[in-house]
Amino acid sequence: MAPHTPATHGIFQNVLTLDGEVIRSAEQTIGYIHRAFEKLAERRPFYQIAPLTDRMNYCSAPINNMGWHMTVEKLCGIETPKRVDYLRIIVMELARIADHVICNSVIGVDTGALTGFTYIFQQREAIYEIFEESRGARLTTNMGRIGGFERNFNEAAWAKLRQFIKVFPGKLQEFENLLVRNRIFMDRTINCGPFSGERALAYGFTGPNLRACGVDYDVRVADPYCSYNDLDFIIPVGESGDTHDRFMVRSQEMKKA
Amino acid sequence: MPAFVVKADRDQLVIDQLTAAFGADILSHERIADMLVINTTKKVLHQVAQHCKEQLDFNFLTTMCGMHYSERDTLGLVMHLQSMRKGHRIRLKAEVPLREPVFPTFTDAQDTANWMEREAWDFFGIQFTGHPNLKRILNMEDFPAFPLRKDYPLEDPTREDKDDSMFGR
Repeated sequence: MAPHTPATHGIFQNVLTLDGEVIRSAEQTIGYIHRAFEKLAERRPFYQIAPLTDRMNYCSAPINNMGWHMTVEKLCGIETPKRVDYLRIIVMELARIADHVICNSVIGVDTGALTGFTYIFQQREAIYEIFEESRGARLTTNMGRIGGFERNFNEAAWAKLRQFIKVFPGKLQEFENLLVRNRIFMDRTINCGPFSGERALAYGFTGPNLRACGVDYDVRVADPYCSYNDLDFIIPVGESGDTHDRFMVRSQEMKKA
Repeated sequence: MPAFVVKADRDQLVIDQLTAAFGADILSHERIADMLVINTTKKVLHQVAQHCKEQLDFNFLTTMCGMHYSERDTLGLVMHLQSMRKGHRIRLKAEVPLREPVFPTFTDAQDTANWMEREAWDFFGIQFTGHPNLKRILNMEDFPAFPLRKDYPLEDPTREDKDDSMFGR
């Protein structure tokens, strides 16, 4: 299969061995969008690398951004105030929701259900409006600074955040009702691509994909950064590691966030 | 919160066990921020990593990458190991001279190492003996250089239309 796009901006080539219509083996060619961040970072000061980190995963840009700033703080031994930590948690959890909204709605599109996608994407828009209000940028926000933030949330951003917290759970439930117990969706995701916990660890899975395989590891609990240890929350864990479990773990994580 | 928390007792346990098992091949150890760094030799790197996995519960290979120390003319290999149960991470390092950049593969112990070693070959030119499919992974196959070595220029040296002197490139 030629370079095509199984996910936006994640193109890779699949070299397949076919036996009639059955795929016997596949070899992946990746690297079409390698952007050499390491080489760029060789000769730049720390603060000039921050905008690059947004581009590592533009669906949840602030998370990698904060990751970079926390790394630099670690290297320099900078202590951050609680307010910065909590504001970071708010921003990162919003970004997590925005990212999971994309994953979970697009799996619906891929299995033939476009409707849920069009509804839940309005909520992603609401998150981007919060970012826009506090930062002026929506997608790649470059929001953090070493030791804190470029600027505080303003009153309008807080108001939008409160509104979002009020509205989102209902909208998410509405979206789930469209998919979770849908016969076609279940048929197309349950037992599709299952992974055992051992295999997932051997292949280096992390995050929700690892938890979907039944490994109860979340770095926010096991090795808490950014004052996550002040918060009390539940880590959803899957069982069989198939696509349906990956969907459910992400969905539960949105509720917990 | 403070920038990091040090797990000193776990670090000490790892140092004690590895020194007892490998003696002089554990060249040195230091702590950079919250992470223990163990400098070892190419000869025992594989055994050290294996020992960490089997005896010290480091079940996860977070990452593995090459390094180019241009001032010493050596290539290094860095492995990040993580123990999920103990919430503990360490870093293993080993160096080889630039003219003979060969390491034993770690793919027999961790499947994750497969692509990581291909990346180290692709960008630093480190060879891994015993790797099942050691070819370039991100760059095109006929790429003429190992681009993350320090002597490879950041800008395309053949271009004349750019003046980037003010950005210090």
